[in-house]
Amino acid sequence: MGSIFDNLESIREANGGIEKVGVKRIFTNIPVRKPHRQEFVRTHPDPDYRIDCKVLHLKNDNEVYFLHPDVFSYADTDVQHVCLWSAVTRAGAPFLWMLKLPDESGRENSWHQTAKRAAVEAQTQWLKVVANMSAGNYELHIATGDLGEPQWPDADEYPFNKWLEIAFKERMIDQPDHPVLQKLRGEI
Amino acid sequence: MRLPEQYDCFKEIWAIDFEFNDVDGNRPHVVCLVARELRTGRLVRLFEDNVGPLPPYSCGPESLVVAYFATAELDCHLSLGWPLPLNVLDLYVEFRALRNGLPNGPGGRGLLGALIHFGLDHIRADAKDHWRELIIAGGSFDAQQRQGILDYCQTDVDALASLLPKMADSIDLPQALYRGQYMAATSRMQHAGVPIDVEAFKRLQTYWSDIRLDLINRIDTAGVFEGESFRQTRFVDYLMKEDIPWPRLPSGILDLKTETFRAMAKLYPQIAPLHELRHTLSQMRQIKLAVGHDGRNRCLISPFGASTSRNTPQASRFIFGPSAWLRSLIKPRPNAGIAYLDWSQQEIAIAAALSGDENMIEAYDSGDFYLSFAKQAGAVPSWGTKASHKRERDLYKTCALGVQYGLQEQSLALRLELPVVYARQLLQAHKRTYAQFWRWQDQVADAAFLKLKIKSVFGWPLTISSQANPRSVRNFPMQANGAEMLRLATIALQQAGITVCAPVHDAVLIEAPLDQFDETVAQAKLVMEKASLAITNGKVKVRVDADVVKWPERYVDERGWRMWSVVDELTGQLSGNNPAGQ
Repeated sequence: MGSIFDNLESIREANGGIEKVGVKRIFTNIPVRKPHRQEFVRTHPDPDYRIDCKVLHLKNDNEVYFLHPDVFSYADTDVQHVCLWSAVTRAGAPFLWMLKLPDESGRENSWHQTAKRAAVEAQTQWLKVVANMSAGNYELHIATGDLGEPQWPDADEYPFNKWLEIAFKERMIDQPDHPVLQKLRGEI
Repeated sequence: MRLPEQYDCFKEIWAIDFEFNDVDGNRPHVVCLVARELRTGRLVRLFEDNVGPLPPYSCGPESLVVAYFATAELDCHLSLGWPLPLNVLDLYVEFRALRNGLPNGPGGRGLLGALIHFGLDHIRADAKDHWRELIIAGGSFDAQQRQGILDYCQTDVDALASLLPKMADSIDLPQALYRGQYMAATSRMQHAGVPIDVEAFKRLQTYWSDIRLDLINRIDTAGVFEGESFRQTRFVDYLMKEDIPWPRLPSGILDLKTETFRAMAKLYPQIAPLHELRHTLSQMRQIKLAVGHDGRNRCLISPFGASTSRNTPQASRFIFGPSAWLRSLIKPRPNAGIAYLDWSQQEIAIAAALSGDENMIEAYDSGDFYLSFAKQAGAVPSWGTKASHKRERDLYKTCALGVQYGLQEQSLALRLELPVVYARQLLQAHKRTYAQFWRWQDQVADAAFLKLKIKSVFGWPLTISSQANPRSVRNFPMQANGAEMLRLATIALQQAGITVCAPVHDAVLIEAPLDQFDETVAQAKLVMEKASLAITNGKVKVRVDADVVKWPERYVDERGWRMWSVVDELTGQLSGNNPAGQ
């Protein structure tokens, strides 16, 4: 009789006995927000993963609505011109980082400037942004340890328009008689 | 009889069953044998006085022997000096495999349970009891009793003949025969047994009830016991005095479960003697260790008893039961030595190999997994050593062990004696450092809960029922493949001519004459390393540590040494002899 080691391949299970199954992580919510003050984040380095757009930020409800160009004129005074950057937390949770853009006169305050700088820096390194009230701007706190690369949602499954679709799936204003606009106009 | 094509390679298929008695620590005494060749129906019925020097059936490569819980039959082969069959199909093991993870049906895991499961006729349990009692009582049997015993024995053989065709389609024959080889290896271990210091054992048996109070007085210097009762209020006082934080149950009372005590004794060595004492007093009213006339401990090793397929020997009868001090009864025979060989950090090595996590493999291969983990996580500089960064190493060790047990941050914090935030950070460090391992564990759980089945590398299955514990499922590959490693190594060690006395979780106890001892231990280590490479598919060689004891020394488990010293001294005083250890 031969050695027990001679014929083990005939009884070995494929893949170590663990059947291969496909499981996808589904993102059902992508919040539109700033990074929390304790949160280290990264932004997507691909310019196709950000967009300049106009939004309505209802601060009382903490809700951000995406405005279709057709309705800009109906919400004139409340509209904000922003850039939405794709960002991700250490835990791999995606969000859209909303950064205000200069107004029509081109002016930009130091909060907006430092926030934008943070988003640019976060393309290549983990950082958090902390408000410095006395200086009137954000401080950038860069992680010194090797925290590894961010886990982005799969690009094929989640191209940037999919991010927008998920983030604004119930918050897209594309009609002048949208309830949010009606409310702002005091009609309801 | 219609069987699948894969059985055509066997010229003969024999269903066999023995009746035997006198097994309390001894090799079985054969009473009778019934065997039937399943294709021709040829029947053999032999009472003990008609049993010859060789089996009445072929045990060679062209023959298949079918049994239910085959170690019993194979133990009888060895008792009779017969060779063991090369091909053993154990329908107990295969029924266990088929139902593993599912609740037991009526009749449990026994032959009766299998027959009921497949809707086959069966002998009533009370009728079985009658014949078993008669056989165990032993003595001489009259002609009518002999006829009755043989008829009873034949009912099990006939049951096997009915059962095999029902089960055959669901059996992966090559894997089943491999498992059958381990049943044979188990019989060889049960046949060998563990050498015991008989004099010390007899003293212990004789005086155990007399020394219990003295033992408490000597070990319990903290005054936790009142008489033979463990007093929780006194224990609380002791813990406060020693400044030891103790886990509590959700109700707020101290968690005094055995496993909690054991874990705390590892963290606080001063607890260990108290743990040994408390456990011993509660579990050992009498010394039930099974020691045969030849001075060797033997008990049913119960292969495949756990859902992970690990052995489940009966703790109170097995020398490697949970009372570590009792192991000092192990003593090699004159001019012989024993070696306790265990794989170092087996579960981590298996996890690293199966997950393919290169960081984890690198840390294991470094020889000090915990220090390497701390370095990889950035907590210790590359030049750090076990001595220079002891605290960091201890923290990362507790974390790594906690991950194996599936500890969450709250429980880990308790073990670390640190706020939860530290435990959380450590767990996050583990997840970052060994991201591939965590992804693989997720895949294991996903595959298990989607396919409702998961297997070891050589096919031991676990069916996922609605009651399946996700934490156990995630840990199954480590445990089940640890069991596979032990089975493969045991078979290979015996093929190399090495006497294996017993398996001990992820270790084996071997025995060899002193003049060949060192070479045998070295050879055994190589065999065990080779087995580890086979299980990990060549990815990781799991290191093997050897703890050797040469006659006239005795085995020592440091956790139980103090307790053993006191027991040995007390029993020695009562017997008027010098203690066995002196």
